[in-house]
Amino acid sequence: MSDLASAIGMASEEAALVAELKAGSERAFALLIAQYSHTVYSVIARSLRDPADAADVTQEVFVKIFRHINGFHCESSLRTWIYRIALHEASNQRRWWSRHKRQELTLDAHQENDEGELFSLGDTLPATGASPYDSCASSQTRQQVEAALRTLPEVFRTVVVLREIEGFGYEEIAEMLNVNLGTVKSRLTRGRAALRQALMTSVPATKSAASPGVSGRLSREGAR
Amino acid sequence: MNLDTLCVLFREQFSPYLDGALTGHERQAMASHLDGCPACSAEFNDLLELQESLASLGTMKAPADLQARLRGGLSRRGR
Repeated sequence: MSDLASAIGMASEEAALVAELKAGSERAFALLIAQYSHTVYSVIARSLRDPADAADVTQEVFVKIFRHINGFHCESSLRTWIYRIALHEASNQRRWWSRHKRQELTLDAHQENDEGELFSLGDTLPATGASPYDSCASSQTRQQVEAALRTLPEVFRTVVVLREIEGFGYEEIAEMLNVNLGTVKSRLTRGRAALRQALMTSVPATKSAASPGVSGRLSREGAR
Repeated sequence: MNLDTLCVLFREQFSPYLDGALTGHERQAMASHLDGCPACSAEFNDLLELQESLASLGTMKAPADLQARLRGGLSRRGR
């Protein structure tokens, strides 16, 4: 099947799904949940200060989808619309978190990134008392990269997560965030540079445990 | 134009280069510069490795009961 025929087929399937959702079909909502819940959860979990809140926020997202599906008129793809709602809900949750939970924390144990989001320096180190699996090099690298991601300002983190981890294109990210293409490219460039810098800063503290790969290379670069 | 200025210009293009968004001529010029500039080559390799590491993180594992919770939540609150 050609790309065009495939795209037409997908658009047609999506239109049928939207029609069923608008008709209140339980089967259609179950299908939507099966199709999107894990990736929406993942984007939200990486967007929030406390990933433990991600399941509740994901639930809010699907309730909003259910309540507002009749207002969706295919101006964007269904996927883009869903992620737009998800990012909006995550943003609301971050604001709530900043107003409430941060006051419960011991401030001297935390620092703020450029946007006032709190992160612990401990986040940038691999967990102590790791299991045999966690102690393997690739797992340490993943932990270091996940921890470094949390130190990025949210505007950069969101674009890096959507592009590099979830694999969205520039145009779709721009639509989700309601920003222009140049802003997406600029945030991605700055986000990548900031992430590299964050890893270079954090890795020397764990140099004996640094794995080959990104952290090993970055630690060597940091020493130059 | 001195080398530093040239390096700055090429480094500004690292991100689109990683995304395959440069033209054929631009890609050729970039590859040629990286071949002759160890500092830029090291920085680009860091970013390439970082990109691979990010891709390998994959979708974050959701709770096993997430879908059931969402269906239950819709039944209680959605209608």
